Amino acid sequence: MTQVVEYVVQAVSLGGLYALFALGIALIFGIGRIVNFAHGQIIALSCYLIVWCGTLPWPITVLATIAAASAIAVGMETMVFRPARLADESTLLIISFALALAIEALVLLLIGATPRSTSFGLSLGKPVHVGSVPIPRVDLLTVAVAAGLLGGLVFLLRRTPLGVRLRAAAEDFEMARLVGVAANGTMAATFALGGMLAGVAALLIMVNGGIVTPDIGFEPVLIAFIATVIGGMGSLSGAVAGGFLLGALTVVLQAALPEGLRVYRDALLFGLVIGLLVFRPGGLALVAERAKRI
Amino acid sequence: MSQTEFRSEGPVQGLTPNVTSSGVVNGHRGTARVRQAAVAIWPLVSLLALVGLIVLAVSAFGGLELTSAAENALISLVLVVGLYIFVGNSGVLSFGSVSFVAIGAYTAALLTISSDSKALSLPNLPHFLAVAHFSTPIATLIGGGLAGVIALIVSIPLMRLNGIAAGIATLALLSIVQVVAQNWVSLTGGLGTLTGIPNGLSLAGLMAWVAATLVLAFVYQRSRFGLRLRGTREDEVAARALGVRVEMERRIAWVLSGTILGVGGALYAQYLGAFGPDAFYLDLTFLIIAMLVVGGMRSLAGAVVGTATVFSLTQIFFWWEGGQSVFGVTLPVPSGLGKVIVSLLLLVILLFRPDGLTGGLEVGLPSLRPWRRRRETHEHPARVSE
Repeated sequence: MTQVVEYVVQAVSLGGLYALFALGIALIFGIGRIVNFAHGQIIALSCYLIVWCGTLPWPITVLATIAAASAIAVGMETMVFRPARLADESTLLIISFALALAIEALVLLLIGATPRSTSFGLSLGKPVHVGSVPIPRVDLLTVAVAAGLLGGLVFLLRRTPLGVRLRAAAEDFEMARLVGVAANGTMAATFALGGMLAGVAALLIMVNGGIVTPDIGFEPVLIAFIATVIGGMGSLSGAVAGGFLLGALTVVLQAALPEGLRVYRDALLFGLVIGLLVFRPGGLALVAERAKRI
Repeated sequence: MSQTEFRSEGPVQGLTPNVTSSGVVNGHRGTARVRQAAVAIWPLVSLLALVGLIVLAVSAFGGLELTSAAENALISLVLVVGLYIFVGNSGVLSFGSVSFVAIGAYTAALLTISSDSKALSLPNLPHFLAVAHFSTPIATLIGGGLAGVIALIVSIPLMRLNGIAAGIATLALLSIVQVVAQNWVSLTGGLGTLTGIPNGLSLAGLMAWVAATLVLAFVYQRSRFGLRLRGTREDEVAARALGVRVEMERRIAWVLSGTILGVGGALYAQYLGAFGPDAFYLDLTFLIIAMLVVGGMRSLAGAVVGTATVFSLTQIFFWWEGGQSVFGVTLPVPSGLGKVIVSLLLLVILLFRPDGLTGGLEVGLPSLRPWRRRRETHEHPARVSE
């Protein structure tokens, strides 16, 4: 029983983290039609910032990281994606791929491949006991943060003027512009939100692992891509569902696989998920398929 | 070069025979037919000639180091053309195609390493692999074939996705192959390096592989399959409306592309002589995508031009980073600068010339009197349709 509760907590916590990754990708894709490979590099740069903040009081580190991540994302939008806004989806995809690699190569050149570590959030590794079940505080924190951000984002999108503009832009960017939604401001706001999500993801990653290397952003982006594809490209709730599904499957595989096969966990996970797409090529989300309008 | 013009390579032009105005008007039907044939195959012939000339020059004047670089470049060209067959014709990006390079490389390695050295380095190999020994060309073909079979299997779910989702889902494939290569220790040697792969390469032999690849890619893109796939690239909705089975056409290109990438991987394995799983991961993915995109991913000429450009650039920086002089110039550049430069070049090309250096066009037949032809068609536009 205790074991089952532990697994459930793990699954929810991992799922929450994956959902955060996926949400960052899905938000930018939904509104800007950009599959943002460079999301991983925002996470990586934020991780380096956390290391650099060292032993500063944690609220300062948290605020600085989130602010910097948003600023980096907005910088990417204004300097790289804005000039290419009229390009088609595949060109935007390669642009973000090239941007991601340029940043990673620069980090390798300037900071080097040596792993950097930090003691940020170390105390969160200690478990709290709920009944007889030890639950790591960091898992609870991840769940709480993910839930809070999801709730906040839903509120923002549904109840605020900015949210209305963002949803209008996601629906039909051209039409939204015609009725007075400012393109540049909307896109900048989208990227700022995406950057914020990346910053929070970086904080959680560093609390969990504490070590950063230049390629740290790749795995989150890979997870996020898979989650958005199985959730249905462009659907925010689908991306969140996809993230939780991946998290849950990971924990199930980890628990169910025999010792010798455990190293293949991720391969099996992705294999299963791709296999799933045979039956639901449009993804899990039951949103009406947004067919390309002619 | 100044007389060479780039010709548009749209699906529509490929469907209608290229009757030139001058041929018909002068009544030289024979000449017209010869010219028509020349126009049709010139994009291929010019590329073969270009690559052949470079190879000849290297084999005549190059030292050991330049020869080795040229071999590497030719293998890169096989990989880029392999990628182009799917990406260029379908317009769907693939970030996972290096998986097939890995499959080809490991297959060829396991089939060519001598049984004695396999008994030492991979003692738990299944018996039939432990005793298997093939000549390098046969092993290369088997590597390509196996990659093709695996491409066929994964294409069943992947190609049901729409374009952009398929592109990023292929990244999961790359991750799967990487995890398997790292952990299936009895077969791949795990994270360690697989050594002792015999090198059966020569410049002439590689040139033959490149020529075969280019011919295959060209014939495919001019075949009904290639034209249909190009149609879906230009306008998927219209192509579907005309009855093109988009998924099926993409699968065909994907399998052909996977096969060629497998062959390229087998060649690359021989070139490296020893490799680990990380040889076929993100760095290689980045490199071949950069080569294709810089040249222009919509044309075969783009694949060749891009490979030549990006390869030269990375090779020069590789030499500089190693402290060697290039044409008498030594630059003490820090290690890793080459990758920064190439990724920035890719970014700049994408922002300012998104169709690549060739603009997505093939090499057109050089005209002896370009000014005259231009005037003719300008004055009598009706003639073209006669």
